[in-house]
Amino acid sequence: MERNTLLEVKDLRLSVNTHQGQANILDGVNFCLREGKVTCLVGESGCGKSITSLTIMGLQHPLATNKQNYLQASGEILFQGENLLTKSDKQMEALRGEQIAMVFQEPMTSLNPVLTIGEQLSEAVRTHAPHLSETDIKQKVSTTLEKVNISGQDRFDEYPFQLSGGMRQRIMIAMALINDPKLLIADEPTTALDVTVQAQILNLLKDLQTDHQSSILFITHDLGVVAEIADDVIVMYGGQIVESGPVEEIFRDPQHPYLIGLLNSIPHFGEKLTRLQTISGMVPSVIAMPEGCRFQTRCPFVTDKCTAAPIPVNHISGHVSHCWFTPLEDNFDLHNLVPICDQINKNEELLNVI
Amino acid sequence: MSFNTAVTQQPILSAKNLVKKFSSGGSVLHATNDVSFDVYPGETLAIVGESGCGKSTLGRMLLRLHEPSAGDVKYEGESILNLNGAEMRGLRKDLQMIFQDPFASLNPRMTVYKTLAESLKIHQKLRGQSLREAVYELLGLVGLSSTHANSYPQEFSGGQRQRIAIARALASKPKLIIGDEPVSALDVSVQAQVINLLNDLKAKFGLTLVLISHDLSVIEHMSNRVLVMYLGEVVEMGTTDEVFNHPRHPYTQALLSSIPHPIPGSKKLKTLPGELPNPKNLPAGCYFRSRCQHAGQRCKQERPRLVNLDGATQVTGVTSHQVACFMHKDIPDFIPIRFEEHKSKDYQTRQKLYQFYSQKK
Repeated sequence: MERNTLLEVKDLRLSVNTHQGQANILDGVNFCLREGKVTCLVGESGCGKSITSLTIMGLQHPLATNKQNYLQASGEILFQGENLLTKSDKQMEALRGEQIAMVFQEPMTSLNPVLTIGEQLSEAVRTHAPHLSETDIKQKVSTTLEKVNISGQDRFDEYPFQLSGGMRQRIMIAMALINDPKLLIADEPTTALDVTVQAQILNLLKDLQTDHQSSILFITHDLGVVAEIADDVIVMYGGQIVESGPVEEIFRDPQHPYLIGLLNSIPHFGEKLTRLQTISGMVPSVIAMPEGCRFQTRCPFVTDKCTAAPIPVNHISGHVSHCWFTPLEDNFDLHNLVPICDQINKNEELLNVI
Repeated sequence: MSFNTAVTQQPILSAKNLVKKFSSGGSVLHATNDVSFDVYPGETLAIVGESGCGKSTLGRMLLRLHEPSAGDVKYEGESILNLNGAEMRGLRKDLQMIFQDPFASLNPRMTVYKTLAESLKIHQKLRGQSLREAVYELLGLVGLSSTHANSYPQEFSGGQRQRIAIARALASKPKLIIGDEPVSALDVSVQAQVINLLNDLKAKFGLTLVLISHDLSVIEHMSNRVLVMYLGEVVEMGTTDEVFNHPRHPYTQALLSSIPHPIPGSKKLKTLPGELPNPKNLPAGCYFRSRCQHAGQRCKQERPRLVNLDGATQVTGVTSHQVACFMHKDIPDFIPIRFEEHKSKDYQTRQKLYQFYSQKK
């Protein structure tokens, strides 16, 4: 393991038996989180980004529990050198909230509606530090609330329903940070919020991250948010990682066809286009994923090679692409193809555009 | 499509001083306050604002899905508020709606065929073979195949369901469609497909679109004119170019500077301090003043009205830019973030390859 690596996920595979057949939710996921950095896990719904985070948290824990939940996992999740997948429920419970904490998407449903803010926050401290006195706990709660820009004392006795969405999300963040975790997992923490509130929360997370030097695994589907907050980016598609690397490289020099297609399909500000470029088709059902590269059903560059596994991993200028044809410009040629293409008129039109 | 050609003189739909109050637990919630605007044939008008600003309520009032507390809605010059049930039903043929959540807006117990056929039977009086053909044609229009006709909504993905909802709205051959966040529930790559589809259909049938959304980049891409709402009031209205490039209302400026752009390095978003005031207990004067750094004495006492900006042009009776702010002359110009060329040369080659191979496929 490299120095400065806080968490390493090695060849994580997760599958579940459904009525329709075996569903391989995660198919060989590998990544590292650097200490003190924000890593964004990005992808569309159903690509396995949330299940990855839940598996790290042990909230989806097939190996350790022996429960008959039909989930099978293989691989390793190394957190500070220890494999989380082999830990028992009790060991994970001690870790959760203390070393690894999580902020969920929907702040209304993840707070307890019948307990006050003060009680819920104190509980998090009490669980992991039973030796603290009640005054110390209260002190700790109010300082944490101040960190998330909520004036502590008057909010103590309020219930979640009395707070706005942005406030609730601040409480969730306070709750996650109260024990100074090494790793904070934030699963779409701003998706349910308005843009102006989202901007407040993103700035808050960034400031807190600089102060605490903790690592954040930030899950989102919004590439704008990624550009705003990330140091490193991991792009997922259909349970596989397609590309990963530092944020500047990901946006400046994307390699994988899926990422290029995804970046094409966002409407950019100040860029007047008559049509958006789209990725044709849709994500195949999780029980009918193709062999090899899972993007092959929608990829314009698909060849027979793409059904083969394992997909080669290419390290190019500091980032990693999982595609047979990296870099694309060395494997495909624009000009050689022009004569053999039958739709000559269309090509001329296209070349004019280019 | 330019704004000038899209607009002719007579508005297709007008809202006049629309007010909606909901009573809630003894107090009154003001959802919209005195909103007036016109929609012209062939244009796309976007209504933008954050949650709770009254944009959905406004959209629903335009179709009388909510009865306005005061004010009037005119369709082609005639008030629709005096129509009885049967007359209103006749009008629904022309005015259709697409809802946000395609998982909730389709009847789970009706096949796609039944969903689409229902409207065709009622509004077009089609039967038998011609009905079947019309349903298949609609499916083709939205990019689905006739093999999908006998499936139930739950067998489709989000994007496909939204296509079905669009097909259903098109079935009555409407003149105007109100889309309440029609692409918000969809993933980016699917969202782009649906945006293109809506634009194509609009051009094909000469539709007028009223688009309710909170996503500013989608609005910039799709609409001709924009109406910005804050706490049930219109704070700024004008052509998309004007409002997005030269916003004069501090709220619009704040909204535009809080969007995260997909360009790394533009670190640290500007944020708006404070929170939305409670719509049950509205402040006196300008509603935005509690969060506005430019607020002066006059903003505390009077409520600003929409006024034409100096330099705004009139195109066939439509003012290009209006703002409701006393201080709009003193507010510094907004500098929109320019999209700098940060793409590597190889990436540009790759983009061309992608485009080329996509078309070849």
